[in-house]
Amino acid sequence: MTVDMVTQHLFMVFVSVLFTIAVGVPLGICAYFYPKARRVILLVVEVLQTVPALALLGIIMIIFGAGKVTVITGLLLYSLLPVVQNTYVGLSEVDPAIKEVSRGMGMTRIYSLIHVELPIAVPLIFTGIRIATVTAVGIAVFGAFVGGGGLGSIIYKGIHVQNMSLILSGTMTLMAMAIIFDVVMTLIERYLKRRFSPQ
Amino acid sequence: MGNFFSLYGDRLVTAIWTHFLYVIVSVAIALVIALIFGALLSRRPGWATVILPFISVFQTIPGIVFIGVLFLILGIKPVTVIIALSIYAIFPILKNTYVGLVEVQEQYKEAARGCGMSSIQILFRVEFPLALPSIMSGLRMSTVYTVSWAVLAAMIGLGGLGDFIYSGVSSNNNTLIIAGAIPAAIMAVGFSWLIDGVRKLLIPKQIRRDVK
Amino acid sequence: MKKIISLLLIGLLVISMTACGGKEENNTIVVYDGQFSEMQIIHYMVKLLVEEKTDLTVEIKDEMAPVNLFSELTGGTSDLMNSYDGTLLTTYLHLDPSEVPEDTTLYDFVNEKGREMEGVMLLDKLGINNTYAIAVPQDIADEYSLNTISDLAAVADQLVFGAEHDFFTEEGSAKYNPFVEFYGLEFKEGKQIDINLKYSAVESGNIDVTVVYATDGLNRQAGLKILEDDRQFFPEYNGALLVKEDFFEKYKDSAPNLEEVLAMMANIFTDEDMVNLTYQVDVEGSSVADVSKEYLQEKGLID
Repeated sequence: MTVDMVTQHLFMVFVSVLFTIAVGVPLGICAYFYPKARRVILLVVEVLQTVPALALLGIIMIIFGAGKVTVITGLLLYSLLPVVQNTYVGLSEVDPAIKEVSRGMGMTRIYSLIHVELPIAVPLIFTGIRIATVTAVGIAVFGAFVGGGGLGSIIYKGIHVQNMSLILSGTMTLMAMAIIFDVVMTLIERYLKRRFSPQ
Repeated sequence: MGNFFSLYGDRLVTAIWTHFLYVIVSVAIALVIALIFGALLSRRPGWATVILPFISVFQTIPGIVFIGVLFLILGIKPVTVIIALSIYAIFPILKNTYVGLVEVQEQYKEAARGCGMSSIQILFRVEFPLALPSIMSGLRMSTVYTVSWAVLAAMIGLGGLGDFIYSGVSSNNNTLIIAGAIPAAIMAVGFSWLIDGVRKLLIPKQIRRDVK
Repeated sequence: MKKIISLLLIGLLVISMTACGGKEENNTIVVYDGQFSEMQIIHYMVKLLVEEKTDLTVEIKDEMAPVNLFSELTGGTSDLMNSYDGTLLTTYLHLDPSEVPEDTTLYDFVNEKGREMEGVMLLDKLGINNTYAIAVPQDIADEYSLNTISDLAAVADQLVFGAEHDFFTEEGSAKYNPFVEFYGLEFKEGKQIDINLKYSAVESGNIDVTVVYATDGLNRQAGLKILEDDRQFFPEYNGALLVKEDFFEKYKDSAPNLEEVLAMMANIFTDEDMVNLTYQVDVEGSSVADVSKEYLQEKGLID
């Protein structure tokens, strides 16, 4: 196992999470604002989830070629479900009374969204992001099938030649990565809560 | 097309049914465990900050490793698959249950205490119902994930739609892949709608937020 | 907010940099690596030979599943890969061994079809026939006195057969159903196991009979005995390098002797040699680089 593999893996997960947030949260907001769009968005995101990882990556590879870009795109599509769904649910669960008050105070929908509703929905949204991140760390092992590097190669090799120490070192590294990401997310969430807490 | 069905038709139907069973059983087990532990953790948020990341870590173990190790201990039996799938399915439900319960506003719990309810009563009659949207969201997510993960059963020859998908991927046969992926997608969407329907039943229209 | 935007921009920048790498140059041969040591060893040997004897660089990139390797080759983003005539025939060209005409060898037939259908060609055979082989654990072979596949007929109903998913497809003549019919075998059960779990399945007794590759060093580690294909059911899988038709054209200016150099690899192995090489890498943990270098030095091909 090389440092290279670890950094490749970290890189793919990190970048895909950024994009998942950038795409998923707005999609969740769309679903929240436009009930008609909601069904379609949730449906698409769920279907993406069920396409087997290998098949999905194979299709993406046709467009982007082999390498990290394919893996990141695949991870992005795979991670959308928890983020979109939790964003949508988080926002829709905001007490209508609060929304009425903001409207009454003269806030526009967008203003209310950013300053009132999103902050309240943050815990659930963050949970979605955390679920997505943790899953991404695991799925990034498929990078080994499409030339993306990462920890997949030693894990599969370890299983194939039945070398327990390879399997363990690869898996332990994955687990350590997940813990670190999760802890970092918790810290970010706490920070956001303090800065943006409603009133 | 017709040729495909005459060759594979039977196998496909069996695979779909097996897959379906794996999902239902695993998610049911996961739901029960997640609800119990979610409730327990909500009483001790301090523990949660340590335990949740710890459990989340199990999600990252690649499916093949998990099954690979598990089957050496338990053998190639359906129970091996069910245990693996249940463990994977717990996390999203657990996380959402915990967050849902913890986010219930103090005022509601106060009011209930004021009415003379015991802790258990508050849990079941105030907190769970209020946390229900979050829990259902977690359940829905978990079910969809499990439909996808249940392909792992095929790794140790225990059927399900994974048979088609892995066969297709290794023999470069796209028809097989699609034959496995489409029923899986339909199943996932079906379950999702089902759970959504249950959610609508459980949460009275009056307090549902997504009804205009 | 600003911080988030700048993070996103950095993310985009980094991605675009990694995505924009790897443009074609006529003094580099791009090879995507395989997932199994046999392929990795052969690729590395190509690298050592070509880099010592020509001015070209061989860039071995991250590994990929075989079908993806093929699409990279035909798509033009990679230049060379190790493959087998049987694999090219069935997995990539979707043809069947039964379609090979009587008077032609599988190798020649596939080369012709490869050029016709995908614009690829096989170079000289490397000397390995990595075909399917039926194997059982040594103790089962001893218990039932098994030496050939035909010997299995008598005891098949007591044994569980397990192999990778690829072996169980309904199409194709070198698969499970045709196989058991050909030899008249009725196994207790036929299980589909992930290829990576196959060896642990047989070693843990979860399956008794399996399909392995003849040149795989792991067969030795798992204590498997290979049964003789006495009635010749399985086709050949001759290893050879797979390239595009215009491969030598592409490098004719930067390395006019390329064809000669690669021809040095013709019949460079025997099956036994490859078993040893893969055993060293997979079981003994030696590196692909060391093992490849040593072998080529022993053969006197490099210094």
